[in-house]
Amino acid sequence: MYAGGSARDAVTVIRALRLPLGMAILLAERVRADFATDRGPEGTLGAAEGAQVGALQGASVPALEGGPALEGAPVEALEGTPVGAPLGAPVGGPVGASEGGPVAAPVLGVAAAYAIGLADTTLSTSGRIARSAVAAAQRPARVGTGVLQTVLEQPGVARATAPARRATSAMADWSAATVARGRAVAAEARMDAVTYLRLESASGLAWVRGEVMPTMIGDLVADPKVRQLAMEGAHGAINDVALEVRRRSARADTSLEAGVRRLLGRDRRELAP
Amino acid sequence: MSAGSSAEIGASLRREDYAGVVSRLVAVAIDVVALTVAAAAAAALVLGGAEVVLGDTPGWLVAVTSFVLALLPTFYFALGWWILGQTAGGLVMGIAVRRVGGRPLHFPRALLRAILGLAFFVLWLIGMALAFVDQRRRGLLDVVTGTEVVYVPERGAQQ
Repeated sequence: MYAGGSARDAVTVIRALRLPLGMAILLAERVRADFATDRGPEGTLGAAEGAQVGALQGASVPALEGGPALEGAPVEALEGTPVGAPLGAPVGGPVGASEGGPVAAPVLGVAAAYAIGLADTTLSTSGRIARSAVAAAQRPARVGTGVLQTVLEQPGVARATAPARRATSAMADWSAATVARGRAVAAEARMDAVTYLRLESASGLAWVRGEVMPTMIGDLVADPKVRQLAMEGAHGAINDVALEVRRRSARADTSLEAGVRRLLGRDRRELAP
Repeated sequence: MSAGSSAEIGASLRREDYAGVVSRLVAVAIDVVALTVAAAAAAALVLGGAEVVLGDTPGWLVAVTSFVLALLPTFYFALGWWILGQTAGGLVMGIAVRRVGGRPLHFPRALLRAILGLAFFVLWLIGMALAFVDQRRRGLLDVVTGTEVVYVPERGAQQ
């Protein structure tokens, strides 16, 4: 896994592994919580749930945050799990820790946390070792590569290795051609798939338009409820328009008459019979 | 009906309860559009149908159709005012024609009003200016035929 990259890559890979590890932990906790909730109503399994969560949380969170393995992980989280606590008890609470009740669940939690911590420590140590190994091997590898290149460039060696190089070159060409062919086949397959999907969707849409939509429209048109709804909607819209026209025309009547009166210089009182 | 009783009934309405010039002109415009569409549809239906069925349009059919279409506006207005007090435009605008005093029109009065209004359309239009100064917003045609135009009760502030 670390062979092709530098020491920094190795560390990156190790850190990247922690995320799926944390996700797996959370998933396991969720499943266990659901399982415990579905089971006995007495609260003992709920206590186990709390114990497990506390144990795993106390163990895994510092490790996931990039800390040095289990260094600094709260021991209380691993030891003081709420064994036998009622359902819904505070996570990681030490009250009533060992006063009877099922012990298997916290033991499992501690074991799981220990395993995870061990794995985290292993990964971190492996990363440091890999980083050191890669750093130590870089210079000899460069030197070795230079020496090998010099040897291969000698005329005798070149003649001796010519068939092998030709074979290697032919193999490389064949590989390149195979890759190109594979890419072409993949592209063609992709195009075929896209074309197939487009054709299928087009035919499906045509079928919907030709067969389904007319039937649906016919059903809707023939449905008395839909007709009534449409009629009511149209009637309401026409009424609204008519009402607005009436209001505006009535205002225009008043405005126009007022303008005419001002133009004629007549007071309204003079118009009274 | 005496003039006094009419005045008493009419006095129960405010000036704003009578339809003004704008509302009436808009109603007439709606009526014109409706009549035009109806006449065109009827003519197309009758004459076009005859063309399709008979292969030709008889001259008598054209004459009868023209006669009926010529009478259509008169009877449209007369029947509307007689039966409902409203035409299509009046329905849309919420205005109605009635006799002075509030009673509905009889058919002869409605027919007379329609004939005069259509025959002397320009005069009716000019006479509409009288509505600006009349307390009941009556035009010349209303004064001649003894009618008035009011907003329908739902819209008017009738007390």
